[in-house]
Amino acid sequence: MGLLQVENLSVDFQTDSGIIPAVDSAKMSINAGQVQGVIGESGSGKSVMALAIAGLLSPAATMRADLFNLDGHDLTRMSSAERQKIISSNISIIFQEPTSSLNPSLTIGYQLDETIRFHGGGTRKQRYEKAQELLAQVGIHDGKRRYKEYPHQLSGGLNQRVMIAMALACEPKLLIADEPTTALDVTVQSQILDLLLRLNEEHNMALMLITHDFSILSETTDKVYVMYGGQIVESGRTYNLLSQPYHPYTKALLDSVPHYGMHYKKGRRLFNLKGSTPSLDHLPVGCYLGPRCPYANKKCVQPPELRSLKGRKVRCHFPLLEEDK
Amino acid sequence: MFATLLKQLSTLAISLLGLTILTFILSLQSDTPVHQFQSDSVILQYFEYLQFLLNGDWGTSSIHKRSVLKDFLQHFPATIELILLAMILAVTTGLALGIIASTRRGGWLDNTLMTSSLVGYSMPIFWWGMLLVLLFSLTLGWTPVAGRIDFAYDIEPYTRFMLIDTLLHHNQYGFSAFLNALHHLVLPAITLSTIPMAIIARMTRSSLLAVLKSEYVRTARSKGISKQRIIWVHALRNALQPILTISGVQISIIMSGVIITEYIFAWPGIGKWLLEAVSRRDFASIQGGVLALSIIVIAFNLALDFISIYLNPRLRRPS
Repeated sequence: MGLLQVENLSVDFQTDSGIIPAVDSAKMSINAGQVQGVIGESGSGKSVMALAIAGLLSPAATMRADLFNLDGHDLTRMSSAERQKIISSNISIIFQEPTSSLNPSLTIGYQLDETIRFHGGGTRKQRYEKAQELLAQVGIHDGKRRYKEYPHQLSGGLNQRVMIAMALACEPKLLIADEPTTALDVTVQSQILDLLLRLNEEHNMALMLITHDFSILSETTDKVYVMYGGQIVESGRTYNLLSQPYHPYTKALLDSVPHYGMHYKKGRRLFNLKGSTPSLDHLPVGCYLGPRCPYANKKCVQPPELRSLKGRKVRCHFPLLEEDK
Repeated sequence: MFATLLKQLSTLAISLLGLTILTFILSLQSDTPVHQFQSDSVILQYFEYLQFLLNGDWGTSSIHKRSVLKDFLQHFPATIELILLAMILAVTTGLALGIIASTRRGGWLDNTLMTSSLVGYSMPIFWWGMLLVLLFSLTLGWTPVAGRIDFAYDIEPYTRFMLIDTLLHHNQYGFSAFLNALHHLVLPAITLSTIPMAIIARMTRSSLLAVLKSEYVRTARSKGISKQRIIWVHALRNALQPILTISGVQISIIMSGVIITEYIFAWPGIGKWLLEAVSRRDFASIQGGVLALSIIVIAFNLALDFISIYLNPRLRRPS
């Protein structure tokens, strides 16, 4: 039984220039304790999908789904207040900018204490001890001092640890990490990732890692979703998907990553995909990758369906099978 | 924190310096000099002028031969009473309306409030005051037309704050004198508070809307915190900064508004006193009055700066 199942999830934004489809009939599922990745360029809809699942969309967005099951609850048959309650007790989310994700006017301690109070509670002393325990769990050792400090007094890495501690306070079954390391230094990045994976194991907490960095996914995830233009274009087991991408976009993404060490050849130019990510209010006809795709032909003006192929899902008329390589 | 305080105090010193130089230069142009200076050099005269000011000699009125400072202090309590009530009205109502509008963004209530605040903001105060008198005093008869209290009450001016003095006469009149004074105060205070209230309401709305879109409010929502708590605990505290700044600007608007308001309601305060001084070309009173009002505006803004430093941990506790 999966922890989260979503089918045909669509998110539209109502704007002055019309309706913009930010996420188009996404289908995803995650099991308890699983680590999954979502990858895509900026504007591919990955963050919006995360916000939709966490119930944090802005009022300008409308969300539809044929199926939205979380921990055995059918969220499509609930009032928004009930849904929010189920979501906030099962899903926690951390964001790209830890420092602006914490309230600048309130101390770390206050914000942590507030979260604990809303999820379980206890006396003031119990809550304080719980907070200290959480801070220690995320690797903040001078928790007593940090408790009284404000977010601007902490580094980005420490603030991200505080965000993770706050997320843990909700005892979530799923933690969504929306580019949790993008704004941090490289050395801090790996510390935060290690922390997330350790918590995933210790708490059996499923992890949805949203990123645009393949190197993070290859080391950490069991399954990957690739997004482009608001659609999932390919999904499958991480190892298979990275070693042999079926979708031209996945291949292009992989080819644009610099390789060091054995594969490094001097003078080799990095591959880059022609053109730029389509703006969501001017999507191309048919396959959204069509105008940029080196393999495209006439058939690509028909929108491709997401279809199963050798244990994977691909949205392409001409998937790159072995013989094409 | 100490550095920020020092910076604020130095701006205070510079503002006061500029202000006194300005009033000093103006006083040199007068054909009936306010002060008699001993030295010939203008620079030394300026220091003499400062000395006069610090000694409490702000000149003598050319009309009724009374000390300007004494006159000012006598009229000032009535004005403070009016300004304080107006400011309290403006801030509380403005904040409340702004919060209501921002939580119902785009709804009919939001649109109604913002349109009426635009009207309130553009209303000439002399006309608005007269309209209020016409409706509430003359047509409906709910409020007195003018003055601070009915003639029937014989109030000894102990503090010159009518609300306090009437309470001190409690033995004689009970609470009726106090209520009567409050009754007289309501309409002028509403007149005076309208423009700042409209500005504060608009500022509160836009500032809150910006904060409600911020990432930390999104974090708070993800924790499952109630909407009320998000507004009162998470959003308002951060939205307060620009509201405080704009309230500081309001005090100078109120200071010029109070002159007109006092004239409309025959309120025996600074405004009425200054207007009379202007119409009689009582130069010493004008100069002293303007100087005192400016000092009050500067001091008020300084106090607000301190409050915003206190409210903002990034200024209070730099990393």
